[in-house]
Amino acid sequence: MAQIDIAGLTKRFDSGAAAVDHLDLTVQDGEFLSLLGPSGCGKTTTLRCVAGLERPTSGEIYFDGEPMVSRGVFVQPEKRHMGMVFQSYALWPHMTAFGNIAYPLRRARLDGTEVAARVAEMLDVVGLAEYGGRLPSKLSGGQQQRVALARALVNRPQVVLYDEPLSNLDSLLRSQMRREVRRLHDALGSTSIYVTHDRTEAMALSDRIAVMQAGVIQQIGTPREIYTCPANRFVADFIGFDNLLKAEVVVSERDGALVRLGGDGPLVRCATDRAHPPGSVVELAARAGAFRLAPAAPEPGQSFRAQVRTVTYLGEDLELQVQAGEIALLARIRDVDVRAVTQGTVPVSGDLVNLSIRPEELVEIGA
Amino acid sequence: MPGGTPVTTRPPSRARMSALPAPLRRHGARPLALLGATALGLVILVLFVYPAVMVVVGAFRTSSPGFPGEWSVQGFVDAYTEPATYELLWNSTAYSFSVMVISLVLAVFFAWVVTQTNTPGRRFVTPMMVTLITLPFLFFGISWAMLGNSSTGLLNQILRLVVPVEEGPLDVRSWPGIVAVAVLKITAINYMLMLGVFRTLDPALREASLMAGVSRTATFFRVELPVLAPVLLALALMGFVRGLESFDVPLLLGAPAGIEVFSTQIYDYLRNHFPPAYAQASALSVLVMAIMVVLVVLMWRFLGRRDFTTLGGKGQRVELLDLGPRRYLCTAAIVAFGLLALAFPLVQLVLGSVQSVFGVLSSGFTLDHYRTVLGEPGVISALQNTAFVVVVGGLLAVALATLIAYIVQRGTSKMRWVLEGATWLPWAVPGVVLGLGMLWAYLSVPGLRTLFASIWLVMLGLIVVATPVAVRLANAAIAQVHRQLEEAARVHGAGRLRAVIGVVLRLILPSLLAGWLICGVVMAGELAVPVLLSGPGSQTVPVVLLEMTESGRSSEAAAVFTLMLAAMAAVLVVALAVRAVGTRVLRARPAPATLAAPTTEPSPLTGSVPTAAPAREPSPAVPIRTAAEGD
Repeated sequence: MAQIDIAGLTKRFDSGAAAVDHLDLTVQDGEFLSLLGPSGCGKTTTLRCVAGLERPTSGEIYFDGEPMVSRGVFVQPEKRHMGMVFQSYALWPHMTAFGNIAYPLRRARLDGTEVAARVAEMLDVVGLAEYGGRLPSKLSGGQQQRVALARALVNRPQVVLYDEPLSNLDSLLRSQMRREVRRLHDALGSTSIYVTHDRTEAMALSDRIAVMQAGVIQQIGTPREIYTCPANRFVADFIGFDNLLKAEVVVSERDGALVRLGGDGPLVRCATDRAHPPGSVVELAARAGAFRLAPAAPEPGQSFRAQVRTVTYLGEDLELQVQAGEIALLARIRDVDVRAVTQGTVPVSGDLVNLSIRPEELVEIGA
Repeated sequence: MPGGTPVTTRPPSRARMSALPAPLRRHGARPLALLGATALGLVILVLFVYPAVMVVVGAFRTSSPGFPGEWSVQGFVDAYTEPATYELLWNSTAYSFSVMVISLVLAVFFAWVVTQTNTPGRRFVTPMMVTLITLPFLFFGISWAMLGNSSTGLLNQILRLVVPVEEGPLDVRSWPGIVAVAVLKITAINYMLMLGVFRTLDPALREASLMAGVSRTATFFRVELPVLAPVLLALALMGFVRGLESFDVPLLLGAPAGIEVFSTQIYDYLRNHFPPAYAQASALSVLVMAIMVVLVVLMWRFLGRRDFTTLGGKGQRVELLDLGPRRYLCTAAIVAFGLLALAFPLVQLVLGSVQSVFGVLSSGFTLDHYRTVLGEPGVISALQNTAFVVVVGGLLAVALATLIAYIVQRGTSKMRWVLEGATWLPWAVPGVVLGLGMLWAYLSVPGLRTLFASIWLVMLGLIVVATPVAVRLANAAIAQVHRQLEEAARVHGAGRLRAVIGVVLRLILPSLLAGWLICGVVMAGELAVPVLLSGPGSQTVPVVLLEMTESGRSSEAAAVFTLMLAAMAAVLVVALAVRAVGTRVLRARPAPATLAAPTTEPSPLTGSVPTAAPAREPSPAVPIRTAAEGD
């Protein structure tokens, strides 16, 4: 129902440094887009500029081609017809759950019976049918969150903005509410922008994710693209690649390369679409969970030998800090797999182990 | 073998634990703590509750305090059969209500301007209001009595340049006059309270309403005002209480025009009747106290509904409202208030003190009035008395308040509620009634009669007046020191006393010094209590000022007041300088040697508090400083 175009958006606070720096972004009609990044990366500021709660220093924002912020134009937030879920919920403490949800409808001058019907429907949708008469202070955190969600969606806005709405909930409620948010988005067909620092949340919810840092979008793509092909070191690190490595190409093949990790490290195979001349240096990333314990003796390109520095028992997994040549690696291996390979003995500090990694799990950054 | 190590290390540690005489010490400490709490409770009862009780008792006596008399209800009969009493009730209520409404509206307006809009000059409002709070009611009373005097007042002289009238056009000795002058200071008090509320209000509450398509103005009335309603109601009641208590302004401005409120009527019974009509004054006081109790209980109930007001915010930046050209109207309002409340009165006071003939600009300037007053033994002794009472009494009040606040916050005893409630009593009782109560309380005890008119009784009275303020300051300061800081000291080998002195007191010291200063200001400007309790030789400056004003010595009064304000300003400047130097010295030094040297105690200022305080605890030095500045 609404496409959002952001062009050259810049927001500078009094201190001078730009919180958002010449940001360009288009959110498609009906799309669920997440702004993902660490705190202070400018994601919330971007969202608040879209909401109209913050006046951009420069740049333009359009809804379906209609200027919201442009040269000489600034549409007040109350005129933008959006819904928003706040991090602190921002439920009005003097109104009941029903009153909070009814507020946008009443202000839009809907008649009483219509208001009552829509609020009742919305309360039902978020599973709070019996709680309409309660004051926010008499609701639990999760229930308050549902009321806030219902309030944002009740007037069927074309654009819904979410400012870290689930960060104050415990993990169980969080995954439950996550499904709820996505379900409501699909049901209403609105365009959603979702701000979060939790990558799992962004993955689970979004059609596309924009990873931000220092007021700039570092990478934008589907969750799979972001997860498997990080555009740069920052994204790789933030999205959970525990091992960021430099490697030297030894042999370049059709669908990958044989590389040497570090200067004198082990030879491994990695997947890359680009052809690199032998001797060139590439940046690689691997998740700790990508490593496996190899049963056989090391074989160049297949597996390599490494010395264990520390072992941490995590229950399901065993976390090993290992040293292979000058390269320090972090490997997380399922405890049962480790015991299967070692016939029940657990490696201890100083032991030598054989590790392997699949080429497609050793990805080239920026490929 | 990781599983084996605990088995070998645990027994020795257990053995060490049992070697400590911990249970023994605990049994030994309990009766002492109980004794201490009981003693403190008694002191509080005697200081705060006993005088209030004695007012009620005194209302049934036929004689003056300390003289043999009989039980009688004549006082009540006299006071309540008089139709004037009911007129008084109506007048006082109307006066207090007007003061309450106007000051609340102004306070909300200024707080809104400062926190939410882009009005130029908004930065100057808070310093101005702090200054107004520092100045005693007496200041506004005396200076406006001069300023708004219908013939010689500076303001009228200026206005007559434009308005062609012989007298006036303003006469401050009228109902509108005393309401307006009282509003000046009470607005400042309400403003400071509103400011905190406006600042802590979650901006997301407003933003959520904007996102729902509601304009900023409608949002103010539909969201912000209702959310603030309980606080506003409490402030309104507080303003009403202050209105009922006000004494200085109605006495100086109203009494000459025959305008009486409760406080001035009680004072009139005591001062202008011979023999003083103690029973009638007490009977009237009982009514005032009853009204106050109802109001204060109501106020507590409104403030007690915490869940209604606090749904936390992130303390986000607020996008300021652009008022457009209207912002200059707001600036004009700020300037007008500043002129009326601060600039005009100060100018009038200083000008009045150096004019050869009071109120006649063409008479030339002279320092004769200063020479006159400094040659009067009464003035000199009043200045000395005030300095003594403020320094010693202020210190005692802060010490007492710290003790109370510490027990209230750390103690688990049921006395907590009683302790805090008792210290609020003097706040809820008008100064005149408190003074009367203290006369009954101490002169009725045979051995204590010698206290009458002595500087000690005056000091005791002023301590009682200042303690509620001091308790609030000490409470805020101690609340900033996390309990774990104290516990960490105990765990790491400090005794209870050492932990309290070395950690808690050490950390709140800047706040306590600020509290001392504030108590001093309150005590130095208080009129009602010393005017009843002092005698020749034990008068403080406000009492002398009242006498001078009543006998028409305006120039001399202006000179004495200017001297006192100059002295207060000098003390303030010195205090600020000391604080600036102090913080620099403390920052430069790794550890304050005087307090931390003898043992292995942690140095709280360098942040080397040991392991028991996790990293996420706020650094102690920062909140302390903000607490001191928030005063």
